[in-house]
Amino acid sequence: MVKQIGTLELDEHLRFQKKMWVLERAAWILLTIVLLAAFLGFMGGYGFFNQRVAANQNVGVTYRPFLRRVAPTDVTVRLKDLQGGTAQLSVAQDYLNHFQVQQIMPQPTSATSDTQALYYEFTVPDGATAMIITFSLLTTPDTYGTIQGTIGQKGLPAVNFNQFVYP
Amino acid sequence: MDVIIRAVFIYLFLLLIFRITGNRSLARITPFDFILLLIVGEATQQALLGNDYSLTNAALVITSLVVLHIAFSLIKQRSPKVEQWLEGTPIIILENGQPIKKRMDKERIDESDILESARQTQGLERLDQIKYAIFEKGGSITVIPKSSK
Repeated sequence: MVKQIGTLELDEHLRFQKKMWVLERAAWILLTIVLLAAFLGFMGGYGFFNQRVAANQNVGVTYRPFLRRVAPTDVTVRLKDLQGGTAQLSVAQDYLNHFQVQQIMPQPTSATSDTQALYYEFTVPDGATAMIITFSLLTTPDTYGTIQGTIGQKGLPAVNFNQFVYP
Repeated sequence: MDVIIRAVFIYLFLLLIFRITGNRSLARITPFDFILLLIVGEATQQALLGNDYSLTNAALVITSLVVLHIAFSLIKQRSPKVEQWLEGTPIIILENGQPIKKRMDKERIDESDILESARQTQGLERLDQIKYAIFEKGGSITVIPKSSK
């Protein structure tokens, strides 16, 4: 509604504007907090707080708890207590369905699957009792929210971990 | 469905961000402001299109944005309250040659901004020649000189 201010007719709403100034400043603080959280890794990417380890005596999985949709990530698996020859890694099918596997280093010698999991076989170097395998993954377009991963050596207790995928 | 949700989200997000930034950023294009708008445009493009560069996807994004824009303009027309929230209101920042410092500080405007507008629009030389200076919704500064009836 137009008001008369001196000789001026103006649609001024000073009370509303003062509220807006307070809201603006609160929003600036919130934006800064969001940026800080992102910098620290709470919104995906490579921030300091965006790396965790889930481990037992047979396997250790280093993963990023916060991911983003259609964005790259990596999962590093350390297989322990190996007896030489070959090692078999089991990755839950439900978990891998959320990703495109871009690369596995070192490359597995074979891969099989059943309804529960994918099994990758690796050649263990002579004399080695441990081995590190890195998965380079890309989250699929229909993945968001919390996803659960299960990784382990075939036939041995696996580790479970959760990741949150931002849209 | 995905493309429409992304377009709607980006539209609303940008509306909110620029509302928070303040109207001044949109009114004047200095190199400082230009850089911001350029980078926002580039960042937005990827989020809108994703990996789908088809004509259909582009057409859907554009259609979603236009429909949303029309919807908001209709809502604003019917509701002055909504218009206030979306676009703000004009405020007097100088009266009879005297700057209203508190309001200018809140909008991050200084006397040189008022003088610039006074020179450009009215050919005025000094603040005391100004009856009213109004910071408009669009971020521009309207100057009413003292000689005006």
